[in-house]
Amino acid sequence: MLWLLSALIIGGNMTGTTLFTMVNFRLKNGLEVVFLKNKISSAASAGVLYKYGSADDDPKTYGIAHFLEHMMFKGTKQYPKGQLDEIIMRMGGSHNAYTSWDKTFYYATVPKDGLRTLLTLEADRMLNLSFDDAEVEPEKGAVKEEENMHIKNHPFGETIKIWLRTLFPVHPYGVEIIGYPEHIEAYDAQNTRAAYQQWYAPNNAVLIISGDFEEAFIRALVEELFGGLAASPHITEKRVRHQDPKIEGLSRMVVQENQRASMVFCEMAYPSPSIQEVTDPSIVMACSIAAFLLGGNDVSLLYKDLVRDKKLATNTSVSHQTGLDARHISVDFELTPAMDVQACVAAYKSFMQDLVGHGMQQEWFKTRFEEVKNQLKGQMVFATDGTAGAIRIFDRCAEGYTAAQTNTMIGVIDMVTLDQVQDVLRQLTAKPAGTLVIHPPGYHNNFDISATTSSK
Amino acid sequence: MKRYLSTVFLIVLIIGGFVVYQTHKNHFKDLPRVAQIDIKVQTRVVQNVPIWYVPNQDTDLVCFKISFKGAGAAQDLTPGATKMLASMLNEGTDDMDSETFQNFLLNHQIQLMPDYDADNFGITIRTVKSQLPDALEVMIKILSTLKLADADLDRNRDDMIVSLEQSKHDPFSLSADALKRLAYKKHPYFVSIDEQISGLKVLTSHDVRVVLKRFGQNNLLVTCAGNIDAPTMTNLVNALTMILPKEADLKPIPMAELDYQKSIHQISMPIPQSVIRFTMPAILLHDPDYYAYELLEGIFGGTAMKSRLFQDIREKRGLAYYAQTNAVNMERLDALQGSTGVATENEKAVVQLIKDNMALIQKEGVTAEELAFEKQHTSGTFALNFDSIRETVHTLAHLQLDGFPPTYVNDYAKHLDAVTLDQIKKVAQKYLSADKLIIVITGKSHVVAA
Repeated sequence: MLWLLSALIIGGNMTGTTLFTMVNFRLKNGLEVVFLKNKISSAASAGVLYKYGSADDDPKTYGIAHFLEHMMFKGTKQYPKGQLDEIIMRMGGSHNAYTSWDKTFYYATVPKDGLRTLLTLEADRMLNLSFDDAEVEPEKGAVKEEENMHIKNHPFGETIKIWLRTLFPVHPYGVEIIGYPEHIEAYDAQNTRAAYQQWYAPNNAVLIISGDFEEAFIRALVEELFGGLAASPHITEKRVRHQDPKIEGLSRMVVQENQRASMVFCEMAYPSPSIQEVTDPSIVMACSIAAFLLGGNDVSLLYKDLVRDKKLATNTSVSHQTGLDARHISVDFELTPAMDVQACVAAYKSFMQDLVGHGMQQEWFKTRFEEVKNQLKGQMVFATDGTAGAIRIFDRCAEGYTAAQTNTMIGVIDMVTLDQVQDVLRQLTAKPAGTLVIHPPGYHNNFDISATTSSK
Repeated sequence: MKRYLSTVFLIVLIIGGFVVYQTHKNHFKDLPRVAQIDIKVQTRVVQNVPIWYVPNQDTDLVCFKISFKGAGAAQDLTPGATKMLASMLNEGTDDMDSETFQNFLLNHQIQLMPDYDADNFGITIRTVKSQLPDALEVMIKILSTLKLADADLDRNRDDMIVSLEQSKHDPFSLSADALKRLAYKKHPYFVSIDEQISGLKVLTSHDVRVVLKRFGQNNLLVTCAGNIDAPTMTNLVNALTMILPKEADLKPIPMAELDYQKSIHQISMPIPQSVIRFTMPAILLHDPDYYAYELLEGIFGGTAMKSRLFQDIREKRGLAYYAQTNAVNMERLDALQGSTGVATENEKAVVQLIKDNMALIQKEGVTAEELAFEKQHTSGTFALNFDSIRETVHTLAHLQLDGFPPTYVNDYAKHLDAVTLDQIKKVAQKYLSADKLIIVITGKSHVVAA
């Protein structure tokens, strides 16, 4: 018991509200630079984050952002095909890229003295990409196989496709980042170059660097290598996507008897705001804290009630998905075919009713809320271990967050009030935006939508 | 185009010259043939337990790992026992139930990360300097007073079985399972998904306690990095030797011989992209020609983006998204494993490409440029394994378990540097023969000619 007591005392004693010694500045051409000092690594990591993702694409060619990411490895006039890979790999460096709905991020880790070389290559391909038209078709082949691997080969891949469209009937978040096969088919050299011209520019990018360097060195190096790149006149501050209509009282449910399911999987999704809409980062953070409190780990409230105590599911988790536009808080359950998904969802609903009805006004809840805040803050320090991990967490700069907001996430957690989290929990007792159930063949259950939702 | 005239372009052009080759050279001219490492691994031996450490006072973080050599899953009498112990180490001790324990770890910023493979078992802890005393106490407590409550065991069991059952619908895990079944037959290194499920169903807390008996003073290895000093590590080892038996209870594991089959094994699954997995014998880890083999393996399929397989299958033909190999050197098994995913209609062509690339290297060896590149890349990649303290501990623990001296970290590049083209050709002829290939294809079609 003494252990517990000391836990609370020490847990509450988190000092310092910034994660990194950070330098954040902007070049005249609009390129934002984030430098995160790391005193102990002999490596350096750097990434170029473009504020462009598949949700910014034309509906005829969704996912061309991702295809362009592939083509960005096909060379420039200065460094023709294969040279970027070769130069980085000769240093022992590892490099790759990923595309999401809201961003494209090119990142690499190299020896410290390889930073200049790495940044030279990134500066070069920011504006000088130059691929052969003949490269397009073979690369489309690779992307088709990537789609096959992630979507069609996955037992639930095609179902998730429908599920996304269910949650986002109009918004491009409703289409997988990689696009549908017909989108991939529509990519060609011309529209790929057009996407590049439109989105790749210093004034639409954030350069993130971590390593043991002096600030003056970084400032001079970045100015030298990126300072001469011309800003693009096409870049607008706001990225506007088709928004879904807000229709009151709409229930959406996807139920699938899946030949390749041996478990029962259930997800309920609730709307959550984006930083763009609400501006105040503590409102978005309140959603993350509520999700963590409810289903972030094996000591969370839902896990305790439904998995540990009532044994109605083998696992549960609650996750908060953030993006430039509003996404969801998802409540997930995994069950064996011997368990009753209807009973599980009913128990979940009643748990939430009790929690919102009186539980969350109790003293134990307030204590738990403070404890969870400290736990979340405590985990953040591990993001500072290594340069590679450090630059990754700043990819939120393409989701409407500033670098300062990311670096002071600990402070943002502190700002979140009990009221804010109670508000989020209250919203989770309303009808979910959608419900998904995937079950094995022969799993008999009467999926009555009215029984699995409770109105406010 | 105006933007092509940006100053950065001109600067690079002037420094690099107008010929691409020279530009390219410019970036390499300061690069040594192999990358050297300036990390100094310190060592000490306490009560016969070797400790490797890389201290650094400039970070607030601490990471340490204790490894038990030979205590891995191949020792299991009931399949799944080692897997279960790795989970149960997070489920509390005599004075703290599962929830109290997990909250304690979170409140004290202690990350507890057990890991195991067929050979070994390890427990890593990462924390901040101020919480180190509690973290060390946690390590001692889980090894001396692990709770192993039935309710926690049942909960973990159900969760594991659900995941294992579902993994039978995943072409990656299913084909890995089939490949091992074909290749290792009845060796303890191979436990099928179904055997694991059956084992887990009957597993008791006693079976899990049996796993703890594999942790002894004589198979204990300690690694640490970050803001930690030698006296602290000495204290940890002293405390560990108080609770661990002198001798670990281990049964001998026989050598695993790959069982070569002439035909290609096919698993039927209604998926558009067939998963092709293959394996063949590899060189022993402590063979003097190992470094040559390692470079060869990288050139053939191990080095993503540059390898011959990747270039031929993905870059040249766009037939796959991935095509890769890796060398698996275990205590009792040395094998090369590879995988790729291709459209059903391309299965035959890709299998042929794999074989053709092996034959070509056997016939002609590799080029001097390929070898020079691979030496720089492989030594450089190794040098970057120390970016975080967690990676540092992980890398060092691997070397310890594989029986290398701490100076290996600094000597590794020299060994690579010494490899010649002739050596590569020699190991290719010995280890890259298509007639030693075992292939499993999971996908729609049913007949593929060997």
